[in-house]
Amino acid sequence: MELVEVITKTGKYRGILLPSGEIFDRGFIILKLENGYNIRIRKSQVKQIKRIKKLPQPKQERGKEIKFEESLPVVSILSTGGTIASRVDYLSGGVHASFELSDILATVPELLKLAQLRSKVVMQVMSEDMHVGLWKRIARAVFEELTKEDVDGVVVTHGTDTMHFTSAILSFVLRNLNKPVVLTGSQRSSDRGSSDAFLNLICSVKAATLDIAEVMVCMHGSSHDDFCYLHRGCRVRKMHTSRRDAFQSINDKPIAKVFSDGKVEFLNTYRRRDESRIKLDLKLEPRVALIYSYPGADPGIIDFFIDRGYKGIVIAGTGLGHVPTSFKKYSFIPKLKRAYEEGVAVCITSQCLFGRTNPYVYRNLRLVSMVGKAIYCEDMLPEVAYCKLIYVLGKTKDLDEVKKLMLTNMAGELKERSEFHDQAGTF
Amino acid sequence: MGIDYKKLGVKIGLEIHQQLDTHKLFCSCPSILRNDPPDIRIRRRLRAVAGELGEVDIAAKEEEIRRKKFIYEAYSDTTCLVELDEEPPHQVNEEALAIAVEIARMLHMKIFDELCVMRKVVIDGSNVSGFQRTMLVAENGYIECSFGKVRISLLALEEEAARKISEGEEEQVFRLDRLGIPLVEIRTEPDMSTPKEARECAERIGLLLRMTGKVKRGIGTIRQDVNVSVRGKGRVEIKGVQDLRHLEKIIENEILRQLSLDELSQRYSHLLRHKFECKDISHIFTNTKCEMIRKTLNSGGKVLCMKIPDFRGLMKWEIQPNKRLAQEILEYISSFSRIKGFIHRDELPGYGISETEVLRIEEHIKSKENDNFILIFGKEEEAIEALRLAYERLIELIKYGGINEVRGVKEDLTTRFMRKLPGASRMYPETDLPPVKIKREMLTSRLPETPEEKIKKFIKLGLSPELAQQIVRSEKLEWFEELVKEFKGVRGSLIAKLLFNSLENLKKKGLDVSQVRKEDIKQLLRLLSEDKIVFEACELVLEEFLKTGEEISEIIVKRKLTKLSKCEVRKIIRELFAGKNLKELGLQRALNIAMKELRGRAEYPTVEKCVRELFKQ
Repeated sequence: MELVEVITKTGKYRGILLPSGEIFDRGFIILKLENGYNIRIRKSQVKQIKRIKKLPQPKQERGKEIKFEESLPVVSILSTGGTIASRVDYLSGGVHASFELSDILATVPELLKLAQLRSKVVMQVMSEDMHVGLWKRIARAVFEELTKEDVDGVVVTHGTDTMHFTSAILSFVLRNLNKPVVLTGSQRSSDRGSSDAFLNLICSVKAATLDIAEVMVCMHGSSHDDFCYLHRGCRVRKMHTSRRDAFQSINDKPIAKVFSDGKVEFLNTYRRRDESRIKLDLKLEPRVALIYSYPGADPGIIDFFIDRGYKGIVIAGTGLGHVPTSFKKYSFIPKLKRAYEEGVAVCITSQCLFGRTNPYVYRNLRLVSMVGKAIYCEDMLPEVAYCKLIYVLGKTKDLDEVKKLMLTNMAGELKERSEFHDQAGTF
Repeated sequence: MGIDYKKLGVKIGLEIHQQLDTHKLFCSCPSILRNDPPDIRIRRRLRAVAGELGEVDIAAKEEEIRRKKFIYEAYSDTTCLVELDEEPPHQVNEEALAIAVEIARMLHMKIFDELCVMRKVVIDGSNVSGFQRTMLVAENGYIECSFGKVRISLLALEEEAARKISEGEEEQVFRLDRLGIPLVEIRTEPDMSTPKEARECAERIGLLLRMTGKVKRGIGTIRQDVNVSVRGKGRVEIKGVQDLRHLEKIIENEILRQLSLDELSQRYSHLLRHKFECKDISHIFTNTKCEMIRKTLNSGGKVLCMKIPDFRGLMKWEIQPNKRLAQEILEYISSFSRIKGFIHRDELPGYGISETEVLRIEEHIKSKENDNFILIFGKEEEAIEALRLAYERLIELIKYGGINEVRGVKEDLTTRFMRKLPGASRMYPETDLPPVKIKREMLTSRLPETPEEKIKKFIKLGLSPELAQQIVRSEKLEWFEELVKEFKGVRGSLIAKLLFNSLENLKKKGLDVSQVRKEDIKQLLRLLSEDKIVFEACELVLEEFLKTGEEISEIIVKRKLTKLSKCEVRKIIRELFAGKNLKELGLQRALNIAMKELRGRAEYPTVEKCVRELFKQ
C-alpha cells in the first residue's frame, strides 16, 4: 500500500491508494483519506499522482501457536468458504475469504473453553457455486477428520445458500456415522461486530462435542443472539433470504437447542455415538435434475434432460405432488412415461415443503404415479430428494430398486407419521 | 471571567449533525420517534473485529471491554428488517441525498461525482450492525461569519444511531425508531478561537440548514460536537451539545479543564517514573466503622491501596468549577468498571475511616508526609482492575493533560470521559452497496434563499429589520412565507404581527398557542382579506378559540366581531355619545371611549373619522 497525493484539475487529495477491482470501479481511482473515508476520483480528472511513501503491510500474526486445554475434546473446523469465512478486502472493496484460527479465536475467545480446535481450509467456494464434485471433496475431508482417533467432532463452515444441500448429501454418503458433523455459516459477514457467525461457531463447536452422531446444520434459532438450533441435515432448509434464523427444520423438529452459554436442550430423537466404523460411500450419479412444476410449465423440460443423458429428475410438484396432466399440450404424462421407459427415475416432492405428498387423492395424481410411474417421496424436501437421488442412482439404475431405496429412511429424511403442530408452516 | 482565548491559542472546531426530514436513509421506513410500547424486542451482542487495515480499533476494543447485552426495541409497522440488521440496506434515499447536496452547495463545497458508502465501526450498541453507514458527499467549503470565514472541511450523509432508552449493569436498551434517519454531518476546520465565535458559527450553520425547509426541527434533531484544543495541543471532542445556549459555557469549562491539566502535567512529571503498585490492606479494616468497607469485606471483597508520591492535596484540586481531579479519575474508572468503592487520602479521615486507620495505612505503604494514596474496594479481581485503571488515568493525565479523548456533556455543563479518540481504521467500505452517483439535477437545481436574502425580502414587505431577523430564525418561517404568498391582499407586516406579536401576547397570557394550526391562521387571513373582520379582531378570536375551543366562525358571530360598515360605526358612535357634553370630554378621551366600544369591529381610522365628524357638529 502506498500513501499518495493525487492532484486533479480541481484539487489535491492525500490518502492511501486502494486498488480498484470491482466492476463499477472502472475509470476511477479509489483513495482512502486520512479521515477514514474512501473517495472515488475519475481517472480523467487526475493530473498527477505523487507517491509519498510505501506503507508497511499490517502485521499479521499467522500460524501463531495457540495453547488449548488438553482435557477438552478435539474439534476439527473445515472451512469451505462463504460469508462466515470472510474478511473485509480493501483490495476489491468487497468481502474475501479468510479462515485463520487465530483471527477467529481473537474474536470468539469463548471457543477456547469449549474444545481444542484444529482448522483446515478445504476450499474457498461461495455456496451457490457448489456442485457434486465439490461435495465429494468436502465429504472426503470430513471423512478424513472423522476417522482420526482423537477427533471428537467436525464443524464444516459453509456458505448458507446451499448449506442444506451439502448437509443432505453428507447425511447419505457418510454411512455408519459415529461422531457429530456440524455445518454452520453466517447470514451477516464475520467482518462486522454484529455477525451471527460468532454465536453460530460457539454453538457448532459445542454441538461437535455432544453425544450426537448425525450430520446437522447449526444456525441461529431466532433473531436474538441467544441460541442456535441443531437441525437434522436432511430435514433443514434455508427459508429466508437474509434473516439470521433463515434455517428451519421442515416436517421434523430440530434435534436440539444450543445456547450461548453451552447449555443444550434436546427436542427430538437422534443417533448417538457408538463403536460403528464409519464408511464413505461416494458412488454418486451427478446427472440428476431438480425442476419446478408451475402453471403453464413446458413438459419438454423432461425431454431436454432425458436427451442430455440425465438419469434422474426430481420434480417439486404443486400441492400434494401435482404436475399438469389434463391438457394435451401441457401434460407431463407422456414425458414421464418416456422417462420411465428409458430408465430415468422421476421423483415427486412438493413445493409446499411442509406436509406429505400423496399419489392417490386425485385422479391426476394417480395418473402421475401409476401411468407415469413417478416416485412419490413422502414428506421429503425437494432438495433432499435431489441429493438422495444422486446418492441412490450411484448404487443402482434399476427403477424398482431406486424406488425402494428412495422410500427407505436412511438418515431421518423420511417419516411415516406426520405430527400435528399449531400452525401449518412451523415445527 | 476574563480569559484571553487568543493568547491561549484556543482552537475550536464544530461537527454539526442535523436530521433530515425524509424517510430513512437505507429503507422506506418513516422517520418517526414513538413512545408507545414497542412490539419487538431483540437481544443481541456485538464484538470487536479486525478493521480494513487489519487492526482492531482502540476505541472499538475499549467498548468491548464493556461488552454488554443489547436489547433493541422496534415496531413492526414503522421499523423493518433493515434496522434490525436482518436485511441488507436498500439503495440510498435519493431525497436525502439531494438535500445533502443542496446544503453542500449552500456551503460552497466541492461535491464528489460518486460517493463510497462506508461503514464506521461503532460497537457501543447504538447501531445494530456494529457500524454506522456514512458517505462523504463534499469537502472544502466555507461559511461567512462576523469574525471572518470559517472553513468547512467536510459534509457527510449518514444514518442516525438508535436511541438509548435505558442502561443497566448487564444490558442496554435501544430503540430503533431513530436508527437510520438521514443525518447530515458538517465538520468545520478549527477556525474559531473563542466560545462566542463557536456559538455564532453554530447558529449560522443551523440557520442555513433550516433554509432548505427539509431538515427536522425540535429537541435532538440537531446536535453539535465540539473540538477544543489549547496551545496547539491535542484536541478533546465534546459529544452531543443539544442546546446552543449552553455551548459557550461548555467550551469555557473545557478550556479551564485543559489548562488545569496542562499545569498538572508540567508540575508533576516526576510521577511518570512511578510504577503501578497494589497493596492489599484489608487487614487494617477488620474493625472499621466505615460502612461501605465493612460490607465489602463481609462479602469477601478486598481493600486495595496505591501510593502516589508527592501528591498530597491534589486529588481535591478543582480543575474546573465543581470538579476535582479525583472525579476526573473516578469517571474514567467507572466507564470501564463497576467498582463503586473509591476513596483518596485527601478526603480522610472521613466516611467512617478513622485517623488511626489512616495512620496504619500510611505506615503499611510507607507513605511520607506529602504522599497521597487511593483506596479501592470491592471484589478482588475488579478492584485490581479498577486500581490499574486509576493508575493508567493518572499517568495519562500527567503525560498528555487529558486530551485526545471524546467527552460527554454533563448537566452542570462540564464534561466527562467517554472514550479515547478513535483512529481512522474505524471505517471500511459498505460491501452491500455500489457507489452512489450524484445526479446532474442535484447540482443544478435552484438553491433556497440565504437568510440574508430572506431578510432583505421581508424588509421590502414592510417589516422592521428586527422583525425580519426574528422571522428568519423562527420556527414559523415557513408558515410566514406560505401565508404571504397566499394572501397577497393582506399586508406582510400584518401577517408577521399576527404570527409573532399576537401569538406571543397570547402565550404570555398562559395560553397554549401550539394549538393554533396553520389552517386557523389562514381562515382569519381569508376573512381579513375579504374585509369581513378587522385586524384587531384576530387576536381576540384566537384568544377565545384557545380558551373555548369553539369554531372560529362561531366565535366571530357570538362575540359580534364582524367588521362594521361606516354607517354602523357612525350610528354606534352617535348613540354612544348621545346627550354627552363632548367639549368637556375632549377629543382624545372620546376617541378612547369609542375605540373601547368598537374594538375588534372597526379600524381606528374609521372610528377617528366618525368621532371627529361628531365633534364638528
